[in-house]
Amino acid sequence: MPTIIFKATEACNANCVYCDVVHRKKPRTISPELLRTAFERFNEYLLEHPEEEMQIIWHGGEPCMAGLKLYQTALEYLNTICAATRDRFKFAVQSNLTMINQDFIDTFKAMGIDSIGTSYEPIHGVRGIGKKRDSVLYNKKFFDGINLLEANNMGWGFIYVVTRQVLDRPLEIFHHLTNLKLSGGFDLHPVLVYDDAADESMESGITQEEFADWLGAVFKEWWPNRERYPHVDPFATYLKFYTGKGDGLGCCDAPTCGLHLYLGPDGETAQCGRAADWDILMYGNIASKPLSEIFADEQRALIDNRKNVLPDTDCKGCEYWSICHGGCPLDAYNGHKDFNRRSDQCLSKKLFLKKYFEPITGLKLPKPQAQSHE
Amino acid sequence: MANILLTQKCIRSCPYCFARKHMHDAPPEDILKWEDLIYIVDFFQAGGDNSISLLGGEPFLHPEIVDYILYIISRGMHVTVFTSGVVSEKIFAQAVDRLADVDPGMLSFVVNLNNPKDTPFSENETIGRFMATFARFTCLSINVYKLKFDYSFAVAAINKYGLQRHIRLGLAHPIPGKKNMCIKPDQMSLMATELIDYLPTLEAFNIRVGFDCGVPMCAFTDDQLGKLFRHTGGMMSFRCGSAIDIGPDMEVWSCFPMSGYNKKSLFEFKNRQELCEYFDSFIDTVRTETGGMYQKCDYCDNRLRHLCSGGCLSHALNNFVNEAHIRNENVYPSK
Amino acid sequence: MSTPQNNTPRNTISYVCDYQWPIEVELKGKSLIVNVNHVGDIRRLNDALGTETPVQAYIYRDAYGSLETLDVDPDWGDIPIVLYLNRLGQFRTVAHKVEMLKGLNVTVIFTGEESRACVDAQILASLGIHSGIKLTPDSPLSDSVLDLITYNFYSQMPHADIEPFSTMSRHYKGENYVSPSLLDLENPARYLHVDAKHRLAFTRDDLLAGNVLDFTSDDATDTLIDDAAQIFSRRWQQWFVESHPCTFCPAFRVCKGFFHAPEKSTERCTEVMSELLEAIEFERKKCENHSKKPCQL
Repeated sequence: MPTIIFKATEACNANCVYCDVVHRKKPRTISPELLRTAFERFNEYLLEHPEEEMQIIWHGGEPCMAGLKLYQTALEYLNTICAATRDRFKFAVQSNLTMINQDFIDTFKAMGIDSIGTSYEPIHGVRGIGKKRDSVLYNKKFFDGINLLEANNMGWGFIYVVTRQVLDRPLEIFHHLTNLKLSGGFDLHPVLVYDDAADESMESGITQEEFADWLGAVFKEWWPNRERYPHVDPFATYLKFYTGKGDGLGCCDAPTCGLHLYLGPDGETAQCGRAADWDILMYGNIASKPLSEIFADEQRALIDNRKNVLPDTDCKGCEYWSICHGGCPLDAYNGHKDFNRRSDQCLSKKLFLKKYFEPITGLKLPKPQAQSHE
Repeated sequence: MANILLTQKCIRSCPYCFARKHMHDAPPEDILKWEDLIYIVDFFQAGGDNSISLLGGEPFLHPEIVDYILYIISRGMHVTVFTSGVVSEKIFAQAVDRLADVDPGMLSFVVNLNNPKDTPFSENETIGRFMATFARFTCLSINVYKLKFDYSFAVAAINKYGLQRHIRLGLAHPIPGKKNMCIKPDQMSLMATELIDYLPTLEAFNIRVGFDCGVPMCAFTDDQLGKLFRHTGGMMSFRCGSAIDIGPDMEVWSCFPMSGYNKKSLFEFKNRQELCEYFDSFIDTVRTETGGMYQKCDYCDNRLRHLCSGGCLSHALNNFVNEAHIRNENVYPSK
Repeated sequence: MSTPQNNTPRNTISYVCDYQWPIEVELKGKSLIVNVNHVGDIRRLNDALGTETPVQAYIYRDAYGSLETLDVDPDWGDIPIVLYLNRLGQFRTVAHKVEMLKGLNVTVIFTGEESRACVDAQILASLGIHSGIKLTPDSPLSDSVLDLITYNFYSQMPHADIEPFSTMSRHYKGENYVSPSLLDLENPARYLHVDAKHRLAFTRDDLLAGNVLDFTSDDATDTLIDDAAQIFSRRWQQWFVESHPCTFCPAFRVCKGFFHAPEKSTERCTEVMSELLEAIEFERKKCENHSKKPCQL
């Protein structure tokens, strides 16, 4: 199923110290014409592939900054331009919830969205509104958004980004997050800070080892109490994988990026958001290219081929291949200027699994059924 | 049935007392707390017991004994209090006020009586007052600690105060390694003969005796055993089991002579069954190592057939106290 | 306290009031919880209110009294009564009253010195009488409280409920917050506190402070109450908006900062409430394991 990260706007009302998104002086928002073109392309693709469904994830910046009208228009295009294929669309949205209101919710619900992905930061000063990074105001608006979601029977889950500011307090942070959402429902990610990041961002960066140890400290608490808060990732996903109960490996862990696509406000497409920021794996503009052609771009073969190359090169003999697959190709490129290399981020994963997950759970990685050339 | 020591303090100085030093060493605050009492009652009631014994030292030294007795009765369990009968004015008044009307089916007092000739006058008065007030709840216990023991004071007390016509007869046993007056192994037969000779007197007053544990069967001739059988209606036993004693600090051991051996905390056991199995096993181990109080116990048919345990274990253990540790470690006092 | 959801059926609201104004007339027909000044008022008031005005409980508080000094009326029968007393008193003196309590519908909460209160609560609970201790933000949370928690949840012998633990356990569903304030009738899904002017609040403290709702008991409707309850149920969020230190505690979900005070160490309350959380989850799991699955035939 193709997944399109639709960045309808680059504008964002939040000010996060670790944000790695390219900030333009004038953030772009998709024009109504291009929005129409996008839905024409979606419809076109689904008509060409009658067996396929398509997931559209509204993204940003902060999607709500694009304005309600954009989404109402999108809904209208869905119901008109895509009338024949409407049933094969799945929509999702990632939002910081600080601007959400009933109108947005009604529109999202009309698209079939029943939960919203968000992110959360308990430490004041890491994220907030405006130049002063007003965290109290941000959190208040965040909770207004949560309350509105719950009043509309919508679910929500969130990502927590681990920064240097919280390295010395893993359990406190974990308890705060599970006090916020009692059964879990969040995903722990390391902050990604790149060499060209601002000083402030650099100060938030953490090493692979630091993230692994942070996760490990949290895991020690999570494991004996996992029935209390079952939905904490990456732990729950790893546990399912190790016990053969499912493979929810996504994004950086999956064997392939699949039919993943970034669609920006100017209609440009790339493999994903970071690819667009770095101007690599760019696949052209939907104004001039149909999606079939974009998905067939030969650059994709480069990434798909990693699973054939890495087991014999950088990942040769690695016992964690089946759960890592060499990591994100963009991280590999960032580190080595070559997609056919292993991501350097895989170290934190391996460290965590070897040093903490396996000894604490007593589980061992299931043996692969065949040589890993998927 | 559990024996709960409400306190290890005692105000008397019985010559046969096997716990004198132990009680002397116990701190003043060494009394059973409410929460521990509740724990003990829960523990044993869950195990199916419907009675509890309260002991000491002198249990009436515990400031809340009357409360405890009433509580245990409220829990539906029978309470037996082993006391000297020497009770302070304050506690006696409480007892009179609150216990006099208790159902005798739920409460018993076992007064451990010494010969009044060997007891200070004031104590005799106090004990007499106690027996007079609580006669319908009370039976006597006496400890035979020497030969030519005079049993008549017990008969006199029963008759004078209208006590229950039953005497719990205990033999004073040695505490391994300590000095106390007791019947020596080679005096058992003489003691037995003196007792049997006194049976007709007891029977004339319609008084029956029952034995506490630790009496060896061979102290009696077959003829004497026959008289005893008739006297007790066959209710006699020469076997010992693991009586469970629980201290005010929740330490638990198997009968007082064994209190220096292998003490545990009650909290170490999940339930009554586990507790009893543990101490039964412990006693078995010790018995296997030590045999009975006599050498001949090793090949005694009565012991092999489990009709007799070979007398009180303390006699056997007494033999090992001062020797080098060359046997099963259980036969030596805990460090 | 469960967070009301739009699709969650709501219990009938009970109005918590003092018996210092003519509630027989002014709150007629409503479900009540009445604070009385004298135990002697209970039967008389109960007769006066009749069946038309159901009373969920009569509450009597005596900060210095004990069961020794209290007149227990055997004719209370089934009348639900909660007694807040300083202590039990000497058991030998109250033994006969305790026997009487066994046949009545009475809960006894002890408010005196914590260690003594815990023992008293345990004594009554072991005798089958619903009992408890009153936790306040100033409570020292001594080992006695831990022992009482252990007794309430892990004892192998059946005993009566001990508050506030049993109520907290009953309300805890894993997806909601509870706190010892449940014992103070702070539950917007069930209680509204009302004064002589018919003003309403979800907590007694709010009522006394004049922090009242903008409608009275005279014009309260289900919708108004539901909306107000929703807002009240979200008070816990303010702790997160401010990133209050209590929000970093593993036991927040069973405490909601109940024991917080400025400059006060949180080490002890964290320890005790974490134990309580584990005990509540143990109880919940036990109930889940014992629940019967429907026959599939």
